[in-house]
Amino acid sequence: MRRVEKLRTNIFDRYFGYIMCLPAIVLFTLFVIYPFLKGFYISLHRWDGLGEMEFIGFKNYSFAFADSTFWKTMGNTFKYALVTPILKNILGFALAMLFVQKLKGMSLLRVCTYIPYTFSYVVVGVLWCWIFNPTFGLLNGLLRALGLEGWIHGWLSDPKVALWAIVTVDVWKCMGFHAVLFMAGLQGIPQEYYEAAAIDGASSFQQFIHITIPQLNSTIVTSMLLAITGAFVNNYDVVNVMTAGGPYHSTEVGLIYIMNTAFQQNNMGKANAMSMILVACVMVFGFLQLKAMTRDENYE
Amino acid sequence: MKKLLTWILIFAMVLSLAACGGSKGAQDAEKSNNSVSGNDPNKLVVLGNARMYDGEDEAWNEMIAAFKEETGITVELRFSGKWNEVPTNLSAAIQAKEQVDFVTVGAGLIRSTCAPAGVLLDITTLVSDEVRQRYTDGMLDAYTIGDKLWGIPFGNSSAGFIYYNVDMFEELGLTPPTTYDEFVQVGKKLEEAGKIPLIFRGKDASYWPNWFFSTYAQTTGNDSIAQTEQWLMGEKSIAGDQAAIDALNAIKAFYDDGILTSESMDTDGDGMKATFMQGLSGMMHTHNFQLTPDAVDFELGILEFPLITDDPNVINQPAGGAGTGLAVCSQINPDNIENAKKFIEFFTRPEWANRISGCYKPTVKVLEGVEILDAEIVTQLNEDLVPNTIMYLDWIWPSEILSAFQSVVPAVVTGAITAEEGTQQLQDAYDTLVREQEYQYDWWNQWTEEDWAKVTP
Repeated sequence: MRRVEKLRTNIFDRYFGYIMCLPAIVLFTLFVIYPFLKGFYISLHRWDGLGEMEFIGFKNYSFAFADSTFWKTMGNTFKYALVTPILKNILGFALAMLFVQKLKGMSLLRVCTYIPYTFSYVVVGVLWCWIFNPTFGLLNGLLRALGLEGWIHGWLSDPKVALWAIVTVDVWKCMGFHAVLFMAGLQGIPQEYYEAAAIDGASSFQQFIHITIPQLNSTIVTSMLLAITGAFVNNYDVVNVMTAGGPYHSTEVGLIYIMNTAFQQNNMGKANAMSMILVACVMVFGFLQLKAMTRDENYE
Repeated sequence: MKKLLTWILIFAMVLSLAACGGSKGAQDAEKSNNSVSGNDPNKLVVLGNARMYDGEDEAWNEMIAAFKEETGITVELRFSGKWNEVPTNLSAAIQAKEQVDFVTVGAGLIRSTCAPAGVLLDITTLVSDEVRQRYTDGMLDAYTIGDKLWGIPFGNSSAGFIYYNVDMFEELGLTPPTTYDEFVQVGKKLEEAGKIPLIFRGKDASYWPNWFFSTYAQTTGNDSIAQTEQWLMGEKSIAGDQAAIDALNAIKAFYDDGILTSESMDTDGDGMKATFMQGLSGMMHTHNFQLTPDAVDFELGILEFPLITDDPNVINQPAGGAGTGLAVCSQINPDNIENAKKFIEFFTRPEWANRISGCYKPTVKVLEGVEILDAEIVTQLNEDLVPNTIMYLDWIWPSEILSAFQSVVPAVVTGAITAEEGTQQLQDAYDTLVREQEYQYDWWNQWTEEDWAKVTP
């Protein structure tokens, strides 16, 4: 009897971990795996979201591949996802270097820099739309006051600059967060390293290259990973609020185009096919990034 | 402890999964021959967008309470989201097998999306002559497709025009312009006075086609609807079409001649109104009645879109129509059709039409009993513009074509592409639509008897 009880306890212990994971697995299956499979199923059909589905095989994929606007929006997505993480990290790092200095008013500056990160993209987008407004906007007003009329621009209406104006907003919002990450990393570097290097005659630049950067390696990897994944999935809100993809698709990212195809043009099949293509592209990109950035030496 | 945790976890999961399950009504509906309507013959469900005007929710609630008192039929209102999200919400409701008997959709969505998809009921026989007579002449036209009635309008109607600041014009000694050349002269004088000549919400891509409605109406010799229908039926190509090229170039001329300026390119609806109301611009382009005389601290005037051709037979045709409507869902429970008929009759009674449409501050009388705003410019609108109104072309265009126009018009205006390239892009959009979705403009002629059976009461 005792043996049976022991056996039962052993089995229970063995599967306890799985049971604890079950809610997460169920939720992941319900809200990620199932919609993904359903999306793939819909991508094989012609469907307006209202009427009956018509099976058309992989035709939606060929429509998507032949759609030049889709590829333009994918290009915008990758531009956005490549430039914003780099700028967020460079500026975040520069701010962190400033924050660790023992200067007056630094606490206030830290708070001011971090506050935008707590705002939603919608709030930030609306705020910057008014800053960029050609008639009432602060930016053009400032340029006018400084006598820089030649620099006055339709920041969100000029297709050459609109995407970069949005990138600037995203960078402004998030650089405080990355600064905090880097600041934590910088504060974790033992001061003795710098003292020893100074005794050996290393210059500030040499200390930066040979002590600060290597010591921050894992922070840089984490910060870049967060920024890149964020840039792929968080670009919908800010772009939608600021330009809705215009002018003439110049700021339209893949997610906006897919949403418009699905819910404005009611072409659910093609929208799902494009989603699958986007997932595949991001997976390839994510895999390469993961390979490059998760080597053991990054965490030594 | 582990066992306790396990049981708590299992209990929480069962509870949450049960909560995710469908409602009893939905399950019953599923059993009943794929009908999404519930089995309560004394309840009607109206699905629609969140009401947009002050007091409209209260007006609807009063109306359904009075309807229940008179008929014993309960009406449930499900208003949420924006007006253009109604088809998506309807789709979700259909997928979830929820009861939906009415949807609030305007003529544009009915024509481009809902009726061709077969989700609306042909209400030709449900709307009695008595109800039809309550409508001002022509108001049901946009809701009639293939000689069948698919919805009924309520709310307001309008016609495209241009607001101007009468005080500013008088101060600068300007006469309200009527021809294009006069517009150019007025624009120059306003610019010299440090004002933006005309402000427009160019940042909102969906408003650019309004310019095309006005110019194309004139370049086609007041035949824009028929020309558009011919194009959408595949009887002609728009690529290289001279009337379309001229229409696009005419809009570009407004920009090149300084009437429309770069400020408009980056301005949204709020920015446009703020610019005009603060006296920073002399004129404001609009397609509907966005400002009432009491909203501004200067005298408000309205101008017709200028004549852009020398042809004396051509007149300005403002685009307009009653854009807010109510339609019956084709998956309505057959037992509820008689109730739907009663609701349509009750909803369009003069007292209720006025109670609900009154919230819109109406400028054009859509239904009998509706009191329109008492203002000189409203009279001018009704006397000069409304009689020449034609339907918005985007009520005829499918959404893919509308998207193409939203991109092409500003691109031509700013010189990013030529008008010829613009018409080619429009034709490409049409060809893609036909290839990818087997688009047919005259779907009502192509439907089979089986298709009609699904939407006929």
